[in-house]
Amino acid sequence: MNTKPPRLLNKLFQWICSPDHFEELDGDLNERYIQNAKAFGNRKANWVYFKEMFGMLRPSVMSIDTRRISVNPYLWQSYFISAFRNMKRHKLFTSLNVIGLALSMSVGMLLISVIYDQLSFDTFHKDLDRLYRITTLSKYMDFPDEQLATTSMPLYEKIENLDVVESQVRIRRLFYGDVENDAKILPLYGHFAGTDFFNVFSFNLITGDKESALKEPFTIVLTQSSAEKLFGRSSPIGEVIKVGDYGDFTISGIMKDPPRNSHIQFEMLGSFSTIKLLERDEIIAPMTDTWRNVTSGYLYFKLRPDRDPGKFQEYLSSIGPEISKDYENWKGNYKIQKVSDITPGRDMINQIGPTMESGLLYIASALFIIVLLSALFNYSSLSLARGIRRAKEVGIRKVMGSTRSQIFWQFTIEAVTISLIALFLGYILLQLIKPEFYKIDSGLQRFVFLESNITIILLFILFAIIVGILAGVLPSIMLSKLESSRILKGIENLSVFRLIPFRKGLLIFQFALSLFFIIFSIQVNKQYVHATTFDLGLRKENIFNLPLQGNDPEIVRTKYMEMGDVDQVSFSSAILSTGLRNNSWASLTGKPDSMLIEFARVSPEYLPLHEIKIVEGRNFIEGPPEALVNEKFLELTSSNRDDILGSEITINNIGKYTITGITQDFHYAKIKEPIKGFILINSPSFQYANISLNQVDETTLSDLSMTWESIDEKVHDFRGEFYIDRINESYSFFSTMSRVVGFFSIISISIAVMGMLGMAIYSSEIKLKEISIRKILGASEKQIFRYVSSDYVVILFVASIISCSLIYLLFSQVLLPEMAQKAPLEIMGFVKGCSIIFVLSGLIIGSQLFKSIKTNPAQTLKSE
Amino acid sequence: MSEHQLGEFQEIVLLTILICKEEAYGVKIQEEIYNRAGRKLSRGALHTVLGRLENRGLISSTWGGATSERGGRRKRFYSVTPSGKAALNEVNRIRLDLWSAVQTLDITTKT
Repeated sequence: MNTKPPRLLNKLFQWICSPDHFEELDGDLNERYIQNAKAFGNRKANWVYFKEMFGMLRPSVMSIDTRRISVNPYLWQSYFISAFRNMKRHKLFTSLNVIGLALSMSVGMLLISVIYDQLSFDTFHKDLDRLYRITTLSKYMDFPDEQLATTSMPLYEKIENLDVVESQVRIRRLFYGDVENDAKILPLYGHFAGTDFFNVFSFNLITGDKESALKEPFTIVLTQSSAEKLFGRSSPIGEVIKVGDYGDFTISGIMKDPPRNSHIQFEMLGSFSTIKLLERDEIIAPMTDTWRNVTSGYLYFKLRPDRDPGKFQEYLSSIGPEISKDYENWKGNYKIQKVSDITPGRDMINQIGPTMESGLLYIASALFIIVLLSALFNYSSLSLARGIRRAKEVGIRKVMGSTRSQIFWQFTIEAVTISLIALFLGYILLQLIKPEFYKIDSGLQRFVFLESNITIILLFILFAIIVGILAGVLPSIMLSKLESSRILKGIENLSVFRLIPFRKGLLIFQFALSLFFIIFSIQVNKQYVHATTFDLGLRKENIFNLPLQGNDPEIVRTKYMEMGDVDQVSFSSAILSTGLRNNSWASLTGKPDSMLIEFARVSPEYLPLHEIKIVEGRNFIEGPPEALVNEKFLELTSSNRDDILGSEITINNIGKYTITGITQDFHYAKIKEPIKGFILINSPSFQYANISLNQVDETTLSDLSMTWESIDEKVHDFRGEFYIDRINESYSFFSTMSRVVGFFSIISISIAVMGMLGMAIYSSEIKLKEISIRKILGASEKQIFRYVSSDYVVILFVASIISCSLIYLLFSQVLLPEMAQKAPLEIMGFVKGCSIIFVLSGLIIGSQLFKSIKTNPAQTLKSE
Repeated sequence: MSEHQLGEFQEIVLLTILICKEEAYGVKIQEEIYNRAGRKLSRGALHTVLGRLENRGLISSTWGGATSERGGRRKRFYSVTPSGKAALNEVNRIRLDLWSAVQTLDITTKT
C-alpha cells in the first residue's frame, strides 16, 4: 500500500493550487488517498486522485479569494492620485521626463502615421493577394544592372492563354496632352490601358461597360473630375474629344477618380489597342512587339485562386534567357512582384506612380528606436535618482502592508501616466513637425497623408502605454525590491547606489549618440554642397528652363529675346544632368553592330549656350540632320576621330544623322551614373526652351512669367525652373538626409541635455554635504570644481572618441565607396560637432556646479 | 441572492456540516454527502461552495489537528454561523409551507 499519492500528480496540484488553500486541500487529498488505498488498493486510490485533479481546475482553487485580490479598482484609483501628487511635488524632474518622452514620441507618431499610410496603399483592390506585376532585370554590356518596374510588352501574348492566369492587363504611361472638346481645352495626364483593366483592378467604373470600355482603339475613359471639368454636368458618353497629338477619342466610360492610396494615378485612360495604330502612323515609337524595349509598358495580372505563383515564376524565368539569346549585349530577366509589395517596396526605375522605398522606412525606424531608447534610459535613470528620495515612501508603504507587486504597479502606472501626458504634448509637437516633414521632399505629399483618424489615435494611445511600461519597468522593479527595514535605517545602505556606473554609461551613450548625429549631419551636408558645386562639364548658372507645353519654339524665342536681360535662347528635348534622357539603339553606317546609346534633341544654340566644349569638328547647324557625339562614344565604337567625323549614324526609330563634331565628355546624367556614349542631334522636336540670362534678380521671375502670358493664351500655366535649382533638387537626397539627420540630432541632443541636467541636479544635491565638508577642510573653489567636474570630463571624452571613430568607420567603409563623386571627410566637421556638445554640457553642468560650490557650508551642515 | 436565500447545493452542504458537528472538514463532508444524499462530489467543487458560503458569512472556519496521514497538514474545520442557521430555518419554513399547500389539494404522488 502506498503511503503517498503519486508524486507527479501531487507536484502538479501544488503548482495549480493557490498557496492560500494548499494546506487544507492537500491534506484532505492525502487523507482520502490513504483511506482509499487501504480500502480498495493502490490502483483505485490513484484513479480517484487523478479524477480529483480535474476537479481542482477551478478559479476558487487556483487563485486567491476574490475579496483579497490586491489589485482592485479602488487601489488603482489611489495609484493615479499618488502619481499626480508625485508629479506635482517633483515638477522639475517630471517636466524633464515629459519633454524628453514627448520629443521622441512625436517622431514615433510621425513614423507610425507614415507606416500606416504606406501599408494602406492598394488595399482597395478586391483580390490583392492574387495581383502581381512583372518586373525586369536589365543588363547591358558592363553597365550596372537595372531593376525596372516596366517590362517587355510581347510578354502579354506569352501569358495570355496560360491557364494559371485569370486576367491580365498592359499599361503604357505617357498618355497626356491637351484635351479638347468644343468648349474647353484642358491639359490632362493618363495612361493607355488594356481591355481587362477593370477586371484586374478594382477601380470603380460608374458609367460604361467593364468589358468593352477599353476595347476598341481610340476610345477613352475619363475620371469623374476630368469629365466634370470638360463637360460640366452633362453626360459625355459618346462625345468625341481630341487628345494632344494622338488624335480623336470617343468617350466610352466615366470612372471614379483613382483613390489617394492607389499607386497608379491618372486623369484619363486611353485604350491600349490604339497604340498599334499610333505605331503604324509613327506617332509613337514601336513597343508592342519589341522585346528589348523594356521601359515603356507595364504588365499586371491576376492569378487564379489557389495557384502556385512559384510555378508561374519558373515559367517566366525560362523566357528571359530564351529571348536574350537574340541580343548580343543585352540580357533580360523577368520576375513577378506582388502588387502589395510595390509600396513600400524595392526601389525600381520607371515606377508608374508614387512609391516609397522600404529601405527608407527601415532606416527611419532604426533611428527612431535609437532616439526612443535614449529617452527611455533617461526616464529610468532620472526615476532611479529620484527614487532615492522616494525610498522612504516605499518603505512606509511596505510596512503598511503593500506587497511587492503593488509597489511595482504603482510606479508603472506613474510611468504610464507620464507617458500619456507626453503623448498629448507630443501630438501637439507632431502638428508642428508635419509641415517641416513635407518640406523634406516635395513628392511626399503624394503618398504620405498623415491624417488623424480613430484608428491612428488608438494606435498612438497603445504606443504611449507601451512606452510608459517600458520606461517604468526598470525603476519599478528596483524600487519594489527595496526592503523596508533597510530603508528606514538610512538610505545610504540602499543597493541602488550600485547603479552609479550604469548611470555613467548611460550618459556616455546619450552623448555619443547626439555627437554621432551631429557630425553625420555635418558630413552629409558637405557631400551635398560638393555635389551641387561639382563641375558637370556644362553651364548651369543663370539659365531658366521653360517647358514649351506645345507652343511654337520660334514664337517663344522671338518673344523672349525681346525681354530685357535675355542673352540667348536654345531648345532641348530634355533637361540634362538631372537623370532624364532618351536612349535607343544606334549603329554607324557601314558597321554591323548596334549599340545602346543615350541622346537628346537640341537646337544648334544649345552647345554654345551651355558652354560645352567641342574637341574636334564643329557644332551642327539648322537644316540637315546632324549629330554630335561625345568622347566616350568614340571609345565604345573604337573609332578614331578622323573616321568618325563625317560618317553617318542611324538611331533606331529616330533617323539618320551625319556626325559633325566630337564633344568633351560631360555629365548628362546624375553624377553617380557613369558616362556612356551620348549623342546630341538637331532633330526639331523640343519640349523645353533654355533661356540664358545676363543677370538674375527679384524681377526676373515675374518678367519671364509675363512674357509667357503673351505667348500662351491662358491654357497653360507658366512653369519652369532655374537650371541650378533643378540640378540641386535632383541631389535632394543629400539635403534630405542632412535635414532628417539634423532633425534627429536636435531631438537626441535635447534628450541628452535633459538627462544631463537631471543628473547634474541630482548629483550636486547628493554631493552637497561632501562639498561643504571639503570647503570647511580648506579646499578652494577651484579645487572643488576640478574634483566635481572630473567625472563629466571623462564622460564627454569617452563619448567623443566613440562617436568620432564610428563616424569615420561608417563613412570610409560603407558610405563613401558607394558614391561616384565624393568629398573627403574633413577634420573641421568633427571639431565642430564636438565643440557643440562640449559647450552645451559645460553650460549645464557648470550652472549646477556653481550653485553647489557657492553654497554656504554652514547652512548645509546645520542639521548634522 | 438575498440574504437568506440558498442554492440547493449550498443548503445540502450546510446541513451536512451541522450533521458532522465537530468533525466537519473537507474529507468528512464529502463522505457524508455521499452516504446520505448519494452525490459524488469532487473536492474542488466542494471547495468552491465552501468558499462562497464563507464569503456570504454563512459558515466560518478554524484550523485544527494535523495528522501524519495528511502529511502533517492541518485540517480546516467548518461550522455554521448564526446567520447560516437563520438562512436554513428560513429556507426550511418556505419549503414546509409549500409542501403543506400541495397536500391540502390532495395531489399526493404515488410512489
